[in-house]
Amino acid sequence: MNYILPGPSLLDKLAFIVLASAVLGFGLLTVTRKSAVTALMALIGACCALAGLYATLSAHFLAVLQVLVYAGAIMVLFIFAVMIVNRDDEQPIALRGLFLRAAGVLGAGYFFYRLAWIVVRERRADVLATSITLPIPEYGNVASIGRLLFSDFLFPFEAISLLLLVAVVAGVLVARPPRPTPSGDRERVA
Amino acid sequence: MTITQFNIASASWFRPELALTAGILLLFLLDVLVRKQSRYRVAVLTVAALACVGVAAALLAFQPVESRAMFNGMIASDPFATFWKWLFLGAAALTVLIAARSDEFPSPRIGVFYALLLSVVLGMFLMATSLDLLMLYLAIEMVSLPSYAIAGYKPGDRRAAEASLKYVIYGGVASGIMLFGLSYIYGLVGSTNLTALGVRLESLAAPASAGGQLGLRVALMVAVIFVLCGIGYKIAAVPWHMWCPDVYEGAPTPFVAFLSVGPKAAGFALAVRVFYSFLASGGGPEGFARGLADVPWPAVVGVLSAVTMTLGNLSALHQNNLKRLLAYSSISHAGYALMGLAAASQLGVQSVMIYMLVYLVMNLGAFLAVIAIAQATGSETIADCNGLSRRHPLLAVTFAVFLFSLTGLPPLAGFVGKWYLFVAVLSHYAGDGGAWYVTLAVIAALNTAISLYYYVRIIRAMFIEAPAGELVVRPRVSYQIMLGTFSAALLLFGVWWNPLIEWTQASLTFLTRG
Amino acid sequence: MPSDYIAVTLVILVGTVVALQFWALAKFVGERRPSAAKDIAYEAGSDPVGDPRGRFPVRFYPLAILFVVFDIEAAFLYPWAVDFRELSCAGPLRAGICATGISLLGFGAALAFLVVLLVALVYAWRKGVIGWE
Repeated sequence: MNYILPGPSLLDKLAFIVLASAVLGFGLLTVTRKSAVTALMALIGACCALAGLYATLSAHFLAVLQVLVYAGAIMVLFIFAVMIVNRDDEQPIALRGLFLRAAGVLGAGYFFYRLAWIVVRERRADVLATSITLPIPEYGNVASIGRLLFSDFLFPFEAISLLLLVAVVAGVLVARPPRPTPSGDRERVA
Repeated sequence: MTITQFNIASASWFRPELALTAGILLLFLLDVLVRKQSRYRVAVLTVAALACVGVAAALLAFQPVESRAMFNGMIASDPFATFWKWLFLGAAALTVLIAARSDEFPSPRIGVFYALLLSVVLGMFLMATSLDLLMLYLAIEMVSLPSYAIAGYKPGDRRAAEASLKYVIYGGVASGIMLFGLSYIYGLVGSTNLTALGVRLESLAAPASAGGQLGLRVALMVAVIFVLCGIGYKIAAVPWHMWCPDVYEGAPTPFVAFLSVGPKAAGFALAVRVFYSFLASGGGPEGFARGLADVPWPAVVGVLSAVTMTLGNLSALHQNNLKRLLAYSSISHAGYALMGLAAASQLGVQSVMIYMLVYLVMNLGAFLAVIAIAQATGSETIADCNGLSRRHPLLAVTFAVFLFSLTGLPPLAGFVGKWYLFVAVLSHYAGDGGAWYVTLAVIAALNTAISLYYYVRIIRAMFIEAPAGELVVRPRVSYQIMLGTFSAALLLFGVWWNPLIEWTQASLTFLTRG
Repeated sequence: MPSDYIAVTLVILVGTVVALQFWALAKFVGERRPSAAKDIAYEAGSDPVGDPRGRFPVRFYPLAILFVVFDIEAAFLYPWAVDFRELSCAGPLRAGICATGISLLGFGAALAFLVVLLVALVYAWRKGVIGWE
């Protein structure tokens, strides 16, 4: 019962190239900008471009959530963090630990070489890039996700509520401002 | 909707967790509703937390024993999971008892600690039972999130802030990497269910489908390494151990005691399940020599084990802070327990279970002794132990018992745990790659000798060094009782270990693949 | 399918072009007469009281966390709302009409989810995160 979509059209390829280069470009901006706020704006761009990529992969609901939750809510949290800390003068690139950093770059380089190698190899083997099969025609839209969420994944859905509760409490506990404590709230600092 | 009805029907096997959930909600509400200045606040909250653990334990005791998958294959209910659940509940109850009389939890905020502690316990329950990649990730987060918060529990304390921040950053990166690996696995297989995953991954990676599928095997290898990274972080195995000493130093000690046994044990439970579902070959738990994607995973775990125990022990040698020392010692103990996983056999799993059970008692005991010492002296260095045998003989003797047990000396239970790990590894002596297993056992034996050195440093301070001044050490009565009980248990099970063997033997059935 | 998103892409493109066009018009056509008063940071007409880049109090942070959590809650409820008719029907839904009985499972699932998050709200409220002393 799989629904086979035709292989990537010119439009698909164009969309992918534009969006993927946007993700990479914004990502590079994010890690190279000195100002934290600029880096965050670039990160928002990367999140939006990523949402576009999700949309081309038929993950429509995920694309919307990516914009709403990541480019929206999580970025608000980041910007709050930046405003609370507010250190514009941090150097993002320092010379300390150059050896470890070089090792990291080498390792990451090798890893990406491997991934690229997989893609090239599988392409030659005609596994990728031929056609896409979707389990159901309306794959990835809100109704189909809801149907899965409230049948197969009902338990994780309920478990997430508890996780969110814990996240709220943890946030309140960690971010409470130090204030003069009333009697009985004496902290022992070892 | 039949699937929903099936979901609802599963709830009857889920009562202990439901009780815990209700308890967590209740504790959060109690924490904000009971008056802050009330004299009975700590008592009320402690009793509520203990009652919650007790109800969960009672429901667990009356749970049907048969193995089954619940909530559409999300989590399992089997004897293996039940064993770990008992372990977690025990650790939680003891931690509540320790925290209730500790100075580190001021009465206005002890409620939130209990509630978060129980959330961690619920997360550990899910870790030990999850049968689905999604559930597994959720469970790990459920354990991690409250832990980050409790690590930074002391307000205005720089070390606590540092501990919390390091924990969050390492934890976030580790779970991100793990999630990335899980997404690869899902992409390759199209299923998140562990029971389906093992079989399908095997057919994907079978030598018959080699050739064009070589890239696929590399992708699988990357994915499995990433998943190992997430698990390794939870059990604090090298090279994912860096958070451990700082978090142990900065977090409240009763919670550190819990952290060093609970989540670690949960990590091992999860590791066993994951290991047997996708790294094991089809022949059931007895045979999984040939690895997925042509990588001998038991050997990888063996190397991890050797590195973890050696690095942990070597770093512990020059520590003067007792909590940091115990942190490195707990890293090395994760290394020992990994030996059981590397043995990749039924006996190996059983030895991990025995070890974690014994480790729970001895490590909680050691931390309890540290808490008692810190309460008297105000700091927690080896020098604070000087002359402890003359100030408070019971504390000194029980601490020595815990340390000897951690070393693995007979006739203490720590010896039994270690003995079974060695037996599990050495049972491969004649088999494939036997020489490597012998090497691993030799490394472990050498490490035991190294660890003796730093454990004895503390014992020497307690029994030989002269006390620095006139200081009254009077541990609280509840602590004295616990110290005595723990060391009595270690002595008892050190000579009469049959119950441990029988219990773990009976708990060896578990669901991995359909 | 990218073809489904042609309209979306068009909207984004048109929006960008319109914004750029106004900026370009102001820059190249508009007249500029700079003065000291125009360089002051705009603060609702009154004179600014301090540097806008000062540190914010940390008490804003729990608020931001609350926002994220309840945003995620809303995101999870969206598919529930879309499927609510289907979830509330004991049998299969035929052409939008439920011929069998009503099922409370869909309602109950969301209720359990919301009750837990309600505890989170109560907790944050009582801890004074939402209020301002």
